[in-house]
Amino acid sequence: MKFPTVEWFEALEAQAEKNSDTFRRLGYCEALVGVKVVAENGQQRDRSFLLTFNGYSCNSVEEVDNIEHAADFVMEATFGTWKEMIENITANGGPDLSHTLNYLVMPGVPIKVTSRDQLKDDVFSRFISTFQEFFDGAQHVQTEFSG
Amino acid sequence: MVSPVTDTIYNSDQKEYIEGLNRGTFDLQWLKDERPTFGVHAKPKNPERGLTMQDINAAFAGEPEEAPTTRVMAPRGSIVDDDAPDMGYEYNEKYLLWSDNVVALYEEATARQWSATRDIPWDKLKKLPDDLERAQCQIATFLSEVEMIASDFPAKWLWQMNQHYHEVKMFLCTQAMDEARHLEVFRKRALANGGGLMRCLTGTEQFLKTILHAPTYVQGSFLMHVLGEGLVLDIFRGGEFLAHNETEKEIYRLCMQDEARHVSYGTMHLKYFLEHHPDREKALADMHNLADIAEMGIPGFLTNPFIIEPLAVLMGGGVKHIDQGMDAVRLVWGRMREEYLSRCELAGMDRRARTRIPAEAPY
Repeated sequence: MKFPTVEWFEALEAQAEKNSDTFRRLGYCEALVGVKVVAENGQQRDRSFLLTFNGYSCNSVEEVDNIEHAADFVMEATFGTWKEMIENITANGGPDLSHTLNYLVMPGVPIKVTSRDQLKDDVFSRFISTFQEFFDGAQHVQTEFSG
Repeated sequence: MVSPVTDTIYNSDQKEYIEGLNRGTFDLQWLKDERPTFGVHAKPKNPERGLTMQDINAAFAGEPEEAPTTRVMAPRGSIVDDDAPDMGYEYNEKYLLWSDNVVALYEEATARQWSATRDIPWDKLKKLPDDLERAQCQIATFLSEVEMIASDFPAKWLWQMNQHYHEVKMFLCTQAMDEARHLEVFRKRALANGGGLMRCLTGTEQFLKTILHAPTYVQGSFLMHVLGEGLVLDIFRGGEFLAHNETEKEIYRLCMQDEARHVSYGTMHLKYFLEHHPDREKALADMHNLADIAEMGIPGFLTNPFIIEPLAVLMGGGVKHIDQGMDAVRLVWGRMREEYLSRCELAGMDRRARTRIPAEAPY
């Protein structure tokens, strides 16, 4: 499955479905999460994906242009940063201590979070366990990096 | 054989009713009353989620009144006897306690509860070098100390809030439970890996007392939900960042979720309060004055060696590298200030030109 594509995120969605007991225990989640993959090393363009969480996990993914207007918050990082995070999750059966979402976001680098206002920004914290579990599903997806 | 109706147990109305029952006559007034909610069939908007408070509010009695005339515990939408006793509620106007996100936050809170016993991987707690264990335990002690204020504070005000606004009271009950769990999880962390409970400081106790004894709910809510819990949310995020094992990662991650809900309520309550206050200018001036004083505590908090040095030791990976670790403290300082100012701004109280919190850490 190629990253970054809608299909790759849908594969995570499918993994979450297989792991539904865990997601149900974490609780209901209502959030519009933006993931922006910034092009580097000759890649042609940035890619942005809107992940809609309106249930126990993500239930739809679409590629959008103006992600900042569509999402509650946007996690923006270079292709290489996302690649490293996914590879780390895959290699360790989950992220090691320095590759969790909050770890990568907290200092503002390498993942930058932007939002329209602070209330939207706080959505990241309110559902962090669900988001982390969702990305942890990458360990079960055969990922091909299309950079 | 029917028992005799004695004078010492039943009043005259009850005796009359019992005598009627013994003759086979029932009252049945409850079947004849007007039923404001008759015919309401609230349905789950999302069957996977279930029937939410938003669903029943959408079906009936969604918007509470600005100022209900009754002071009773009877649920909004029910029929109340005219002579029902006054409960002595002092918060009888919506703007004094409401926030537009409180119903959703209540549902979110009940759906995302967790157990400090079951949901933390305690078996992954690893032995740490003494300085790191002490640093973690100093922070855990501090958090065990401060978190219950957010249980005590709502408990103090709950009985004074008109039950017409039951959603606010229900949300504050979830907050009280959240904070009980935070005390529990940090106390467990302190006592689970050899470090133990460490120092509690006078200054911290003084700040907690200020919150607990705030003269009005909105003042206390601002001090606690917006200023205090906003700061603690950043400490939780920092705690996840600095964690040295999966146990601590999970503790801080789960606490982050709870704390962010409380901050969201507080921010939106302040906004509602200011937007609906009958004398908005005065209310805004009063809240600015409160913030002027309260913010002066933040530099003191972030120059307290019992708070910043453990953070720096965890960041640096040990006391030998504490200098490097001070980067984390500067980061928390900057984040806390910016997020606090952004929340105030969102609530309609722009503090950017007025704040007493220095933009950068003085070290």
